[in-house]
Amino acid sequence: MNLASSIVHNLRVLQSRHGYLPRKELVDLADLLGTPLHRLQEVASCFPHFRLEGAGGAPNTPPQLHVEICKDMACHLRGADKNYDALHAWAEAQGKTAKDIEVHYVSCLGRCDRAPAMRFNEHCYLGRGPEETCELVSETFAKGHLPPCDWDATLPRHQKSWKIDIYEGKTPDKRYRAVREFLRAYPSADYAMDEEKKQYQVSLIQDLEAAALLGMGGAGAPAFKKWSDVLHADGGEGDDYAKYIVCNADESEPATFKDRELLIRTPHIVLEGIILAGLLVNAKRGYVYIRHEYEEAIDSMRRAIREAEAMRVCGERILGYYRSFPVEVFVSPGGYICGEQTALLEAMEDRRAEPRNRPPEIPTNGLYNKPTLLSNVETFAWVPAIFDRGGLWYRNQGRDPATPAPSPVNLAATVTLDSVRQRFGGFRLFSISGDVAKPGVYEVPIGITLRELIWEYCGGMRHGRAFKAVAPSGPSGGFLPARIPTKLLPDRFVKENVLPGDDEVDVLDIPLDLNHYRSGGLMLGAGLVVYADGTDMVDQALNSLDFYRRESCGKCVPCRLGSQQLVQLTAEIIEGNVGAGRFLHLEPELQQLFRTMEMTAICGLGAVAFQPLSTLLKYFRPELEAYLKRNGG
Amino acid sequence: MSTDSAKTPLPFDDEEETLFARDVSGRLIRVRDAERRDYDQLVSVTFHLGANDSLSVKVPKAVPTTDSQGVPLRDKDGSTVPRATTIYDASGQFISDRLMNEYKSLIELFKVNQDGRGQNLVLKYREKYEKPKDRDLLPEQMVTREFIDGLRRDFRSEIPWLAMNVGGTDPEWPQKKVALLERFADMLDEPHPIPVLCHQDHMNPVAVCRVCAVAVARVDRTGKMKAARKLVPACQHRVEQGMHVHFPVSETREGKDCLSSIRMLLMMLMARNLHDDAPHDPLRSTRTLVMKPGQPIGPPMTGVYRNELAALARRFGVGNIGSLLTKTPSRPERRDNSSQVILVDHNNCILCNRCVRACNEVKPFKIIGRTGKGTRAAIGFDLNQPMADSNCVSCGECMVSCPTGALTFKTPVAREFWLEGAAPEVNVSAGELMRTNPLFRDMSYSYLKWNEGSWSRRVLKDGEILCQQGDYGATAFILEKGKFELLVGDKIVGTRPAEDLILGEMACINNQPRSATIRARGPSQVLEIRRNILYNLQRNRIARELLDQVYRRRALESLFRKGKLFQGLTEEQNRFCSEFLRDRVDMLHVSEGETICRQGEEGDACYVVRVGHVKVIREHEQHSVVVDYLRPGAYFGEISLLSDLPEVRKRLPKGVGVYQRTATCVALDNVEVCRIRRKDFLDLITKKPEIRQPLIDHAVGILSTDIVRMRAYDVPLKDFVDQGIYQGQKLLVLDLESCTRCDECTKACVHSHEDGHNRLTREGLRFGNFLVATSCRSCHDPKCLVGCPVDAIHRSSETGSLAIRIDNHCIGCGLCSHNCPFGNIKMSDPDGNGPIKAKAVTCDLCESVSGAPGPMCVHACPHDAAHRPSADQFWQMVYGRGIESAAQAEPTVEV
Repeated sequence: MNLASSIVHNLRVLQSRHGYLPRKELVDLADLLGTPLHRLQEVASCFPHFRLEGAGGAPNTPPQLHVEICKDMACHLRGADKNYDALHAWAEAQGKTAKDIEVHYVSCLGRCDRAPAMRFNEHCYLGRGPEETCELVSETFAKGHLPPCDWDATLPRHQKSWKIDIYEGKTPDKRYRAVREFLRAYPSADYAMDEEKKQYQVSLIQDLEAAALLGMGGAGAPAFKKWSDVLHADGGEGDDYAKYIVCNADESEPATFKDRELLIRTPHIVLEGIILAGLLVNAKRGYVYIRHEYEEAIDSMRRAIREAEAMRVCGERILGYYRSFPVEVFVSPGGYICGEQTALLEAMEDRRAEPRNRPPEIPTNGLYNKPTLLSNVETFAWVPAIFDRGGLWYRNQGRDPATPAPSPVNLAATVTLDSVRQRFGGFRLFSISGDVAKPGVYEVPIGITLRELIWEYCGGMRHGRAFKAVAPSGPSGGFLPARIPTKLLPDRFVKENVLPGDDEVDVLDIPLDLNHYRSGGLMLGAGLVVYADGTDMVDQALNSLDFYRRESCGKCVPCRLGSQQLVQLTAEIIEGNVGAGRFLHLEPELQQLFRTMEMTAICGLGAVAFQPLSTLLKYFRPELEAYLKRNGG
Repeated sequence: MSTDSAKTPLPFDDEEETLFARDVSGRLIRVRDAERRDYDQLVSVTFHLGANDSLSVKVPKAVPTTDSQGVPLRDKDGSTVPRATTIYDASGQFISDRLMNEYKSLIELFKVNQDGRGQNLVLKYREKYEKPKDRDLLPEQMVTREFIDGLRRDFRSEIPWLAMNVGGTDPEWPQKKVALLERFADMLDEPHPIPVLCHQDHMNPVAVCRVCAVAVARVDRTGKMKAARKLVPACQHRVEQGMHVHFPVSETREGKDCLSSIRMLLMMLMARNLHDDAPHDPLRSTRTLVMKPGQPIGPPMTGVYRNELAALARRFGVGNIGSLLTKTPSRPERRDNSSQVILVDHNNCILCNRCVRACNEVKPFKIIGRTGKGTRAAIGFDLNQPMADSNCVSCGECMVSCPTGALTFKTPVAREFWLEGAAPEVNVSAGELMRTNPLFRDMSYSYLKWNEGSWSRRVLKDGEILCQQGDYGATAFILEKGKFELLVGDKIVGTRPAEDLILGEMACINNQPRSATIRARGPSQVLEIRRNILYNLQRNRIARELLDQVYRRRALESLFRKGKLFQGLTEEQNRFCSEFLRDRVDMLHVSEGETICRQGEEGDACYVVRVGHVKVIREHEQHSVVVDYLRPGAYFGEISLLSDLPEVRKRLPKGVGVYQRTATCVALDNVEVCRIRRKDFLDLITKKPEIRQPLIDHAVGILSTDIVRMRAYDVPLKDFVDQGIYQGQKLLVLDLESCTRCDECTKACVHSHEDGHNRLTREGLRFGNFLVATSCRSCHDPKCLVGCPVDAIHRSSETGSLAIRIDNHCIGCGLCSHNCPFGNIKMSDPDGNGPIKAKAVTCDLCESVSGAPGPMCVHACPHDAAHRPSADQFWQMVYGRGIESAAQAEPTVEV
């Protein structure tokens, strides 16, 4: 990747120089890069980070103070709207114009643990109420500079140590043991082939297989499979040869911020995972794709790369072997859609972050159409520990079923100890936010229940309020109520997991395991938002639907238009324009719209964008009906 | 198939891989660009129409890429460019195969019922279409499709004839037969089973509208049918071995799933982008579309444009947007009215990206892109400027591509010009033209509407002259009614009925003078069309096929009339030969620089040049010499037609038994040749043995003179041909011995033209003592004329004039300037008025200068150093002798 000719990079340089992208500069840039003007417009207008206009539209300067308020999930729950209204009122009262201050909403900033989150001229101010916010702004204008901001690194850590960091408590020179060991075992990239399995015999892949490590981005495909796919993929011959490693640290899904913590706390572990991947598949280069709002994470990763280069475990001629693997940070221009793997690659290739039609798949046709191993930060981060301690070590880290859960679990008695062990193995990180006492990132054994997570780790519910609902995968999985009627769960799941006679399952008792959730037709992600009693779920659903509308790239029809229609419908229900009679009439079409979006959208965003509303219909019908009834027939 | 797996939602950032991501052995497939070898690799795809009704078709993994005219693209070696076969392509094959099966069973029934007409039908169609016309162009599967296309064109008119009862034993047969025939005719009329909105055959698929969604499945290793989790876009998804497809016409659960999804997509698009004032298509203006109960949308289709969205909605019975969706009102501020030529109405834009690809891939302008994100996404010009402020040249390609009338014309191209002769003109609207002339039926309505000034219907009385021999006419004539006589001098050389479709197209395409006078015999009617319309007709698949038939026949007639080989045949024999070969020859479209045949190769076909110029090169060991160039009407390689005959073989120069090409032929520009294969020709001789001897006699004669001619070939023509001098009819040459570089010629040029732009530069190539200055040469085949979207550049309409004139309605797109290989067309400076950025300027031989005695550059030269000779005259000036072969009006070479 040549930065000088990269559109995204040049736009960022222009933006930081001028505060926005002046038209004249864009014309010159197009000339310099020899690219049509519309290519710059396409890219710049696709990422909200780029401002195409100065303050108030026409003037030539950006506003003095640019306030961005996160409005998603946890921040919405904690009153982002109040901050927004307060700031607007303040600006009006003080007679400030668009040139002085500009306040607008943005999508999730990844600071859900200190909601509501705001950025003043790209500096974070977290967990501040309306009064405090207005004071901050007054102070800024009075002093002429920003008051001290809330750094991520200052966040108190609820867990003092993480098993993922195998070098905890050790001096930095002890790091990268796994890389050293790997190179000792495999000084060249010629691996022996197991003729029977048609697999390369590399202990690292075998370890990943034994560990049954799943991708931590969400869908949880077995990591070893992806790694061996890239290893087997044809990267070309001679000068044409290339394979790439891309670490997806775009983390823009509301409620998810574990990668931020991993990158700040243990960047060396993430980097070591990337280097191991690069050496294993014989990749040419590695990239860490980090969202631009994670300034500290970007710094931390860049520092880790510099240190690793100084230790010669990364870059040219690693540890003196004839193996090279440079790694660099690619700062994402931002947007939830960049977390979609193919859209991320499009953005890296200087195009609009719009998902590709698949197949082809990334392990064979990824970055620059070359085999690419693209994985989540956490997936890479578990690799050093697994290589160092063996796959079985990880596999056996799951929640020990011998220790009974602290509260009654209505798992069926048919579940044997072995099958539980079989099912739940390993560790993972959860980001948890919303109405819990201690929101944050927790490393937990896979298979613990939500009850344990909230009460054992997060200090219980905030202000001791009652648990009402959970969003188990940011907005993607919709919302689950405290108790799910068994009739809404697949028969097989009920038969295997619910005691006969029970007609409800307590969500708090369902083990937090991806495949277990999936077997119940449910989705489990890395970010959970907990809602306490008294939350208006219809309002929360609208908030999540609006997120998808904002973040749809607009490429395909079902997502672009469908997300808009869903927001319009839900807003009309809240505004009182849709009555019960009309809703009954339109509901079959609504179900068809869900189905159409799921079946025809190009990427997963469009395919889940209706989940907030469909789960509302499924699990919170009475709440919705209260609105409809209020609205009349 | 089971859709159970589809019920479990998956988070989007790490979605599971697609069904056809791996091959059957479980290995992830690395997708590569299609290669030539994929033409030969067949995959089997099964299409399901009902629970127990399916058909497997075999399709090649790749098909040839075509340009916007449907003509296969070729690389520098003359090979077609493969692209991966998609499900959409394969379903076309499915329809063809199904029709073919139906056709065969129909024939079988005719046979069983001893119906003689049915037998005839078999013979007739087999002869006509089953012959693979161009096997190296088209994979075998495509041949069926050609056949079906043939049936589609002609079968309907056969029905009355077939329905008449002849013979047969079953008394109920006549009735049954009619029902069968009607059913078959209906099947022929069925549209492609997969709808598309964002896709066009010549564009790279982007698969954004998703209305082509189909359900796919395959049998996995355990023998279980596994369905893809999502529907896939047929326009973009490649075919894979063992693929099962359900599409919206399938009476299966999966098919219905597709159908209901497509209907929802259409409803969403209608809610957002189909407005009351949306333009509509005149051809399909019979029914009113109702958006909400009781509220009709728009004027009942009296509007103007083909709206593909409205058409699809009608086809799938989507009458309104239902009760769920909210209609987005059409907002005036979403209209960009800035351009004087094109109206951009974002209200109607469905973001199909067709205009984006038209601007960036079909045309080279690269102005249109997508801007904004999500629901705010839109098409944008340059930095999302108003169209008039962007660098758009208003070429109109985006407008032609737009399926929903988001880009529509505002001002029709001015009607100012031309029209030869005195016959009364009748104005015909674009809609009427589409309705009344089948050639135009499938053309882009918006394009026709924009160019309404580019044609005129003319009604002629008996004996009225349509055009005069020797004129440089920039128009062609579509024959609609009556008969037409062709006269060379005073002699009638032929008569053309209206079924001949077209006359005068050669003068229009090649910019040659009319080779004959056309006179109406009896009351007649023609449509006079300008070049841009003719080009567009030829890029339209249906029109092109109709025209190609005519062209093939004419090429053959010309060959038999002029070819030395055939001089010994009688008129009747000639006619038989050309009729026999008519459906067996093919028209090849060859791009500039491509090789048609190569020296040393075995010659197995004869070619007749219909359009363009061909360079003949003789390759020696160290170097190659351009020995000749061929113009339209010329032919080459006729000896190869007979080289298999022993009498001819023994006279062949090398005596190796195989007739090798003695030179290489390369296209100098866009060339169309008619190819006659030896195999077909030998069939002809077998069928008509009496022509054998006269042909052999002439072949032997040609071969003996050939040896003499080969010696004469050593003329150093290379520069002359390579630099395009041979094209010149009015070169501006300066005799450097008398030229004092006083620049009076340039000054005279600037001062004589009102706009003050100079049209010549005293720089250029040198030949001997002469400088060929940079100024319009009035080429025989002016490349500048090709592709002008508004036909603003053409040969002067003054009789006998050679000048290239640029009309005032030039939109300044720069295409002619770009096309002129000699840099002789300048773009004048922008004057800053409106959307018209610049205008093209070129030498008009001072025709526009009133009172000029001829080109002022020559007139003003005080030293008599400036001359405007033709290429042949120039050769004479430099070398003191003529160029024998290049100067031939109709060169004939045996290659």
